[in-house]
Amino acid sequence: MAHGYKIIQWTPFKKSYDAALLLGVLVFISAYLVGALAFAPQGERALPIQVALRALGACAFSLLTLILLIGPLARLSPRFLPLLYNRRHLGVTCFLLALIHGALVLLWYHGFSDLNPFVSLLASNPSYDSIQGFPFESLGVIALLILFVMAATSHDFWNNVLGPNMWKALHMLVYWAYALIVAHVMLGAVQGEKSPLHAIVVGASAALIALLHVVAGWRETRRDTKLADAKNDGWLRVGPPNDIPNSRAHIVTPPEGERIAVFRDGARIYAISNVCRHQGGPLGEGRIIDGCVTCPWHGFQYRPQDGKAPAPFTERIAVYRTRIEDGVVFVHSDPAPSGEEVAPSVIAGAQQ
Amino acid sequence: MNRAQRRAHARLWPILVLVLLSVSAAALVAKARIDSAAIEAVAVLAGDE
Ligand code: HEM
Ligand code: FES
Repeated sequence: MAHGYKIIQWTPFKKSYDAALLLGVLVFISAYLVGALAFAPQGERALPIQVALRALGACAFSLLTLILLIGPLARLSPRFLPLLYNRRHLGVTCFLLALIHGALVLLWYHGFSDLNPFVSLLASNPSYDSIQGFPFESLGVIALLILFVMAATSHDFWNNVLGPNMWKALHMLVYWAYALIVAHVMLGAVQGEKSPLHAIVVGASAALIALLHVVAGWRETRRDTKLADAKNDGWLRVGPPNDIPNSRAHIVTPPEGERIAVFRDGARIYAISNVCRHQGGPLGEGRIIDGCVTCPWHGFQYRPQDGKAPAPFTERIAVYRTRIEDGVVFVHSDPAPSGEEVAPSVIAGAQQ
Repeated sequence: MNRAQRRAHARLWPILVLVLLSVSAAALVAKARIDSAAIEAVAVLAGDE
């Protein structure tokens, strides 16, 4: 996180976030236990250990659904941006819940046989060619391995080691993990249950996730094809300076290269790359705090005049020249030479 | 997200939607078959009595 970044300004509830997560997990598991133990019809009541391991699986699945909702929701409306802030805590918690779920399954269903429990888990049901009796546990194992790799590399240390592109590619495996878990439940719990509740909840969750990702992705693609009006000399039209809210930005899409965020800080206009060095967050959806553009995703900061993170940080992003002509802001699509300070354009007649 | 990441998402999601749809459909069809077979079996048993 960038130096001098005041958590309180961007996410006042950051601390309560983890408390809410813990509380949510406890409430979910308790409700599941009470529901399954107290309200199940006579004769269909499972043992408490079975209910507990199901509750943990269901909680991990619900948490993963929530995690995957946050990304597209934040793309569709900035109201959800603060939720992105601690998403990794949700991810690690989800992995831990799923790990306990898997461990209990291993102990309870496979711990009492003569076979090694892992062999028993993966080989005792060989019907890999059937749908109804598919060894759905194996899908859970693969998903758990993916969640493990992601939880283990969730720290920024690994983001730096792998580089943001590799890190992002690795963490996009989460979508495959989600599909595997949907299959795990559809081919497992759904087949065994009389009530359609499991099928409905899992089906609706997966449909919602897919719909939001497709809609958000479609909007992004449309934005990428709506290029800024460009003059032949590389200057892109942004619009009247006062249309840009103070401390915030308008984002323009050049014909080539990354999007550019054009910020207004009082009467000064600056332009920087829209892509955060950390994980590619949309800087143009952040705002200027203490003179620095602050990324809406995790709070990295950059000085808008030279694109450098304030000391002791060393990240640097591209900056662009701007000019104001006849009451319209233009930005040049070529970045300024790296590290060079670019003077802001000043809105004529405005108060500094 | 940068351009490459947006493109990766745009390419991945149609595939995922297909995977999710086909897995869910296959599972529900299999379940419906087994359930109706079970109902039939119960009816046969009841008829035998
Ligand atoms: C080592 C990996 C895993 C194994 C061996 C495993 C095994 C199982 C088994 C045997 C069941 C059926 C339990 C029963 O009906 O009594 C089950 C259910 C379930 N699992 Fe897993 N699983 C694994 C990983 C996961 C992961 C990673 C998730 C999600 C993040 C998950 C989510 C679920 C859910 C939602 C259910 C249905 C629970 C319910 O009945 O409400 N599982 N799993
Ligand atoms: S701070 Fe994480 S993407 Fe910008």
